[in-house]
Amino acid sequence: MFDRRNARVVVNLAVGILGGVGLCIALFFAIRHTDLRTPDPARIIGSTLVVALAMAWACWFSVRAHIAEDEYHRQREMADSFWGGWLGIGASAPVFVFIAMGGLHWLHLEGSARGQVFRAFVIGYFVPVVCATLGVIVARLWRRLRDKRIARQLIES
Amino acid sequence: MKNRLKVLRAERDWTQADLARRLDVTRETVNAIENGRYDPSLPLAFEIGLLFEAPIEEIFLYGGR
Repeated sequence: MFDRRNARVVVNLAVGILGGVGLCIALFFAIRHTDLRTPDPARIIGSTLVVALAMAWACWFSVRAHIAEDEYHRQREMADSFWGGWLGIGASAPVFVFIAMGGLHWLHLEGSARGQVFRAFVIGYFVPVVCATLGVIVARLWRRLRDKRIARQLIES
Repeated sequence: MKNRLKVLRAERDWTQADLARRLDVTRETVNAIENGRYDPSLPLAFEIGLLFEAPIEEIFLYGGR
């Protein structure tokens, strides 16, 4: 059933995600024709502020969505985030070692020294973030499967 | 923790959605409590007790007792 509480959660999440992603996309279009090799202060500070604003926007609406949920869903969200986050960070360790030991060379990402450093930085930054996100998704899927198994056992007993 | 929520609800001929509306939670929460997948917080347990006009220990059975 899609009641008012669910509607509040979904609306807050949608506004948070769409607003945050929208700001990041706008930033991408604003700087895509600039020369990223030159350290333009306006671009660096502007981009940083826009991304900070996007994250603040997303966090604000995520908190509102979290508060709108009832205690059962809040507890599930926290458990998923906690275990998923740690699972993701743990999973990022071998990826980090792969890159640190020169694994990027096998992936044909070699190029100019500057490009290599840049890619290593970007990948290094995104690995834990992407892994943490995937960890949350895995934890959620695992919990849903467990819930279904318990429900099946209850029906059978 | 076992509980008598399903029995008490059935006595009043309420659906899970009815009970959820009265407790201001989602139907999934009621379902999770009834099936023992989730133990409610003390405030929610008291709300349930007030709603069914019964002490908490008559609704929630610690250790199956």
